Amino acid sequence: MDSTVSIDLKSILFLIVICVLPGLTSGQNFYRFSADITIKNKSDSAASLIIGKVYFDKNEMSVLYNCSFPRKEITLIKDSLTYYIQDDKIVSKTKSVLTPEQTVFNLALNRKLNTFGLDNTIYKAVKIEKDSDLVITTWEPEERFKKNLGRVLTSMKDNRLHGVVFYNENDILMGKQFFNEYVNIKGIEFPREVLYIIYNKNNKESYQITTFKNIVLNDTSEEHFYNYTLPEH
Amino acid sequence: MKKAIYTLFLSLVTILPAFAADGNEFAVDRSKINREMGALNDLERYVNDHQGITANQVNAEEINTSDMKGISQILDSEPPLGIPSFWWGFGGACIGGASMYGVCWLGVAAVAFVYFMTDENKEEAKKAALGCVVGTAVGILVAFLFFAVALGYGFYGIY
Repeated sequence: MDSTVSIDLKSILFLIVICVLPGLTSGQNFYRFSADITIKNKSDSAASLIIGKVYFDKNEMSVLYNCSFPRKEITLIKDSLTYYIQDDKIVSKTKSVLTPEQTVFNLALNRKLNTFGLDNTIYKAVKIEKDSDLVITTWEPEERFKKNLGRVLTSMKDNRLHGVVFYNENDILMGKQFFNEYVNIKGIEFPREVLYIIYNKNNKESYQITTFKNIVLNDTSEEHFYNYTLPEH
Repeated sequence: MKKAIYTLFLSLVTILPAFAADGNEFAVDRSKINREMGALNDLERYVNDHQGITANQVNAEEINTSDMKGISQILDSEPPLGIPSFWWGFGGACIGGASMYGVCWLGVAAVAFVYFMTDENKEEAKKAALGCVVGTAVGILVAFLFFAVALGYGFYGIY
């Protein structure tokens, strides 16, 4: 009799754990991202290779690239500014073209990568269609922005963002971005490769491939890179 | 503008007929890209095999690493109006020098303009300053030649 009660209690506990655990997992707050990063650029006239490590902190809203190649350099993007640091000295400070909010890291940690962060912006989804294994969404800017901005297409494959196609205001193809080799880390889907194809004025293509390895979420071992203190000069 | 896209918001998601999209827009010629990236892949392997090596220490035959852009150059903002900073300094100083009114003051103003327009980018300001120095020399030379010619013309014109 006792053992029956015990088994029943175990079953109930097991059921509770099964039911509650996914909720707990999905509710986990991910606020940090780090990975080994490689960026390869190739155009007709130039080629470049960048190797280093990237650190993103959602609370600090900062992205830090600690590069080892082609030279030792730290790049910090924070508060709409980009700082370039060499030998513990700020060699340059510029207004940032890219903000941490727009990065793939922020979108992934906020689980907004599927829409490329376009929902709840000046873009609105005007068409959704299925083509083979892709679900393609056409996004258009609000009327008042159409003078300067073109449509954007996003495609989903296996419930993950597969590609993004950008057009300018004259509906000329500007670029394509592809998100490949997804890995699931603690419930967060992240692409280990991002391919960017840029179309120049003469319709020539240039390429950028960014790869991520050794992805870690909520890392606390390299605190100084997440809360980076800028050198005084 | 990109920042405006993300900071401004928002609209209701509506489903309306629009441009037709097809899967071809998402087609990629991966083998072509792999061919293009071949040398960079080789270099990446080499660098990974030699931890801590920098571009200056690499002797890669396929790629001129001395021309390689760092992340700073990739993310760098553009010079004002897309005109290289050197030419801002050069143009300003050249005009100022040629007109002889304060010689390079216009060049100095151009350097300050570049500095503030590029959000206090010292590298761009240095390029503008170099342009200012070269422009001043050229401007003074042009002014000197102008006065020499004018003086000569006046001399021979009088006598």
